[in-house]
Amino acid sequence: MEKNVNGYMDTTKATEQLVRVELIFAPILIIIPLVVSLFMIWCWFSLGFSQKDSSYTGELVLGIIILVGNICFDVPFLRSLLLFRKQRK
Amino acid sequence: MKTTDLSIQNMAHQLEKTTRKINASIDFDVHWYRRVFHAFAASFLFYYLLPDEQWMIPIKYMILSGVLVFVVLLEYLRIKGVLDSKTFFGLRVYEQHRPGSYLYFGVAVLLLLIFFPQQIAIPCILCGSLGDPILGELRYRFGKFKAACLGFFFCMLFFSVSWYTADTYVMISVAIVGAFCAVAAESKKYTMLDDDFMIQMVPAVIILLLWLGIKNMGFDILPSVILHPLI
Repeated sequence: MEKNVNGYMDTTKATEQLVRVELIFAPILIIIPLVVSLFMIWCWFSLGFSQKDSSYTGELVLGIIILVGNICFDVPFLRSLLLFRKQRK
Repeated sequence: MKTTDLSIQNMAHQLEKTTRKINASIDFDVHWYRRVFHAFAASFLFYYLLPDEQWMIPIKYMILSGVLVFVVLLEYLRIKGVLDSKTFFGLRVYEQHRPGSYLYFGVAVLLLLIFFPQQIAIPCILCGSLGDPILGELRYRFGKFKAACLGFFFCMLFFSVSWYTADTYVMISVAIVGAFCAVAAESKKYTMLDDDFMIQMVPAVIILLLWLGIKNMGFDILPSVILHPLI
């Protein structure tokens, strides 16, 4: 099996199929963590902040960590995906 | 004649440059795809928000086991050659004849969610899902040593957040031990196991043993839970 410079399998012959696989998964990989993190923040707001219950601070902090962590990786991923699609046109 | 040669050379050079650019973009794309896949795994913490009712417990286990069985089956078919490895986006060369790292990751998450208290499982899952890609990205830009130092602080943050309700000295000690174990486990390369498994399991097992050992002496250092079930 050939490999490219970064040690990934050489998939240039199956690129069309792979890009399709990637495009199917991309919305799931991006949307689910955002929904989960926003749900955690909502839990903190509705059960903790509005009820003045500090035990829900964990939901807020973890929600922010998941949200920020995912956005940091989503942005370059989407940028590279758009660039790739533009180059193929 | 000389002008034609020059223009052919120029065209060949342009063609080579464009091919290199496209290939670099494919590599880059695979690279970020793996990073996003990692970060996505932090969503598994939703498990702790599911209702804690008696009827819900078997359903929770069934969902977790179902996902794992599906991934195991997929990997079995891929390794046996029924499914073509080339159709698995972002697979590394060394993963062609052994289970992919996502299977190791899934097994580690399953073990943590079922057998470990959430105060230990949450920071370890965060180390695997966010710490590992952060370490990889830092290593890519700053080299091994600086990446390990910076990654250590990120992992410390995950442990500190999960243990923030504990006494300050306990929180700091656990964060240092956990972050050190996570970074050490990630930095080492394994033949049979994968760093995605080790970065989660090594700190989890060490902290579990520490907690049980100290508990045996009469002190319970485990803080209260930080994620609450909805019902």
